[in-house]
Amino acid sequence: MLEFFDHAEPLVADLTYYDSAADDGLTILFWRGGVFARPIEGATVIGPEVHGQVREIAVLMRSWSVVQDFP
Amino acid sequence: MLVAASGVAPLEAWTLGGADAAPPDPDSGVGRSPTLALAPDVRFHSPMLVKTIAGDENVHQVHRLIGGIQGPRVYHARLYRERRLVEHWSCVIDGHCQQGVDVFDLDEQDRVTDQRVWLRPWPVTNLLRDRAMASGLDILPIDVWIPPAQPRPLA
Repeated sequence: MLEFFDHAEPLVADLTYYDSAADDGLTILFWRGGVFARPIEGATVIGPEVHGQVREIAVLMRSWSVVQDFP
Repeated sequence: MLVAASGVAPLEAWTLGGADAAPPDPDSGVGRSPTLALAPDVRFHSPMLVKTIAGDENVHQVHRLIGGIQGPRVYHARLYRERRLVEHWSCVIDGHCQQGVDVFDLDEQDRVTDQRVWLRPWPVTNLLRDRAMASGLDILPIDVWIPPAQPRPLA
């Protein structure tokens, strides 16, 4: 997973986390950046945690016209 | 598909056939979403569309269109903060699991003034978009579905 993020993250220019939401079970980080000089947005869902370890990470993105070229 | 070419994930992980097939447990999650009224000037930002949809009647039509393709949703989290509601959900489209995050901005009457949607995985989102566009061209014009051609730098 870390290797995947190592490859994917540099493709997003000016990656900025601008908001978050969380409860006891999970955290959602909202970010934006650019791919091919076009804006891309993401919501990274982290959790749940079991014994202090994250069991799942999901990266949701928008919009289609940009994401179809990425990753 | 720049990361796909790197080989850090198996090829099937990039295709519809490799999408998560396990449907969400209907008994899990945080229960049904509350029925949210739309403000007359609501704005809806769908990741499948290249333009924002404005107005409650237009947004209702798009909601009905998408809801008719997606199976029932299971809501995994519902987070409130000030006048903002965030929902994390999943559903099944043609046997493939899709996840979404919705962010709703609410007015003083708890009506939705703005809705923004994030989706995954992308092969399933493509499937949803194809089916929505096939039956939705009488609702939304073609330029709402397809972006204008743009020059793109060579990879």
